[in-house]
Amino acid sequence: MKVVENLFPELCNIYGESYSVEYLSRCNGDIKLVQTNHKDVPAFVTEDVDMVYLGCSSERKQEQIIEILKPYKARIKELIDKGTIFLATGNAIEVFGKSIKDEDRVIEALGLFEFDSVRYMEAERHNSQYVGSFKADNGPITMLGHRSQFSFAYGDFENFPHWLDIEIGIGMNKETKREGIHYNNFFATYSLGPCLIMNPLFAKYLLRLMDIDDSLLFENEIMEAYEYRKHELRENLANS
Amino acid sequence: MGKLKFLVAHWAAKASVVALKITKHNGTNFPGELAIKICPDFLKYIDKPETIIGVTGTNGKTTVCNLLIDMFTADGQVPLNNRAGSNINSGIATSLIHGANLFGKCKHNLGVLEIDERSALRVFPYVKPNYLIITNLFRDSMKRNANTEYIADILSKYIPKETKLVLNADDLISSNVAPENPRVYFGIDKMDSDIKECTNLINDIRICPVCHSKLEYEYLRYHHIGKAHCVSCDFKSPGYDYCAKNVNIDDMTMEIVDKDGLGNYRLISNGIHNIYNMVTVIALFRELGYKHGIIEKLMSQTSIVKSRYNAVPAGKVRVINQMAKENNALGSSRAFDFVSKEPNDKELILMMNCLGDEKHWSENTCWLYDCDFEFLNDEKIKKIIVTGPRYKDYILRLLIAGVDRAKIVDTAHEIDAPDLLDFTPGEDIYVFFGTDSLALGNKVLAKTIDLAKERGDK
Repeated sequence: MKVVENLFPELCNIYGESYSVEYLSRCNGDIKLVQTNHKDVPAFVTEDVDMVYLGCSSERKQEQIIEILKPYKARIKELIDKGTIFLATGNAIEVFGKSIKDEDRVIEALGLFEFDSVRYMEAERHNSQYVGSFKADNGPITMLGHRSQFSFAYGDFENFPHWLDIEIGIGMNKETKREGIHYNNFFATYSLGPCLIMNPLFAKYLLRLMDIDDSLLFENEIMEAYEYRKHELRENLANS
Repeated sequence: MGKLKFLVAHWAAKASVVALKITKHNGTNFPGELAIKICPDFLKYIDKPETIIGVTGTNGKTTVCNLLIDMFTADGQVPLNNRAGSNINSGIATSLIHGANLFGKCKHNLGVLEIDERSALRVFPYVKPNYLIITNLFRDSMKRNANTEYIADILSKYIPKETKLVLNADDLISSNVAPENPRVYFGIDKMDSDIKECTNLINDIRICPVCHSKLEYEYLRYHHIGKAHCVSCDFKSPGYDYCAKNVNIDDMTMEIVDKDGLGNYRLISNGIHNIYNMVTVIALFRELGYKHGIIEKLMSQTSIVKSRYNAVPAGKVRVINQMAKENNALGSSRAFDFVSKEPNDKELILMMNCLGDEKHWSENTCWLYDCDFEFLNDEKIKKIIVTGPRYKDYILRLLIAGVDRAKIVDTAHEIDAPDLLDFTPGEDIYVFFGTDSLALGNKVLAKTIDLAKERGDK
């Protein structure tokens, strides 16, 4: 049995995020999905789970999540170093950086990766999409992402374990084409929502990383929707 | 200098109104946009009605405004309103320009203004409602509204301190906006159909905002709407000043109880969201001193605007247009819930596509997984036609929701969708579309009605 832990769905499910791991668990009967409430000790603290998911939250809840996870920082680092799969989407990526600046306030984050984030709450919300890629076990995987955010991350992303090389769209901020974090099996991206449903090839990759059959639920339909959207994004974004 | 600039802006805007009329371009925001461009604080200087009723919130604000305007009109008043334009600052400016004389003096005693939640910071510094109704706050388009905490914070920051709030006690998010303001609460007492645990994908307030413990519901209607309390601290839903009791969908009746007594009302819609809209309007009229009997009489002369929900008998079926805003999981969830509970067999056309997005990129599909497509996994729904740019995403979403593949039919082109309907006698056909695809949606609707009549004649 493979254990996938969905951290704090009552806090981190504001754009359909929880459906990612729900979908993954329905793909393979060997996956046990654990939903962890923010008042409970996460399963990853006491057992070697196979995958941990943290979704996007409101800014206030993001700060709450950092405080909840701070006592487990060493354990999270240990699991990342051991190769446990982590997936963080939306502003959950910022939880793992050094700090988040919000006007005069500086919120100390977990500090597991070398970058800082800045919120621009008074500015217009940034909305965009991306097409990017990374090298997986059996070749490059093209990833599609939806962004909608008030904050951006800053750091030396050229010399950073970034996840995606962006073909269309922006990366961690408007000046870089490097997006996300990929270190061992830790993956994080600013992309929102049901990341695994939007990226079936990545979902298959995660199943292979868990050493289980990589067949997907409704594989034909999910691949068709992905290919259609990829084509549409490339066509429309390139022409806009 | 400011006043002079204002007058120049006002006259230019007035001239543009005439030009727009001549060129048959009524109903645009252009006069307001022009005025604000010339005089950025135009809203500060233009005269306003003596009494202003503002209406904001995620869902129901247009319906509530329409009911208020229709009822005030039936009462012999001429409320200034922004029904024909938009609910942002330029739309409100346009309405005020229309309602003012050449010197900027307002010709109306009363104003009913729909105000976009996010425009609070541009509107409330200058337009200070005597009463502000907040219908509810749910997650909306992520691209504009981010999340409910963000919107609630904006409202709390910008609502004028003197404005009296008319709030939904059954919504723990909007009922806590601007806590220092004077306020009254409306709500609907426990109903037979209520539940205790949320079964919807969207629940925007799962934990206590004070101590972060679990919220327990005495009754829950949908999403986070209901009466709740924190299991660990004193946080709880406020009490009702205007309470709907004994809501009877079969008899289409309800009672409203307040400190001065009881009123009996006929329901003008059997949808719970519209019953909330009714209770909201009644609460406002009671605040203005109207007697229950008068309110009931005025309300009986109104109806829900037909662009949002309209059933037309055609041939041997009924064809229904069902407003479901694009990129708004909540609105579609509520519509799916309502439709799934309707008694007849039905076929659906889903075309809530954000056509504007398709010109530049691919529509953000996150909302599909916030939206309760699971309601459509229902034996009375015989066929679902998915169409438009997102049809492949709809197929996948419906399958994940448990809908039988054999029931799902697709076509890329919306206008072809009615050809795929069965038009089984006695059934209802729902066409789901939103404001972004309004023109195309109306064409599909018209074709569906025509085909239904043709089939009915055979």
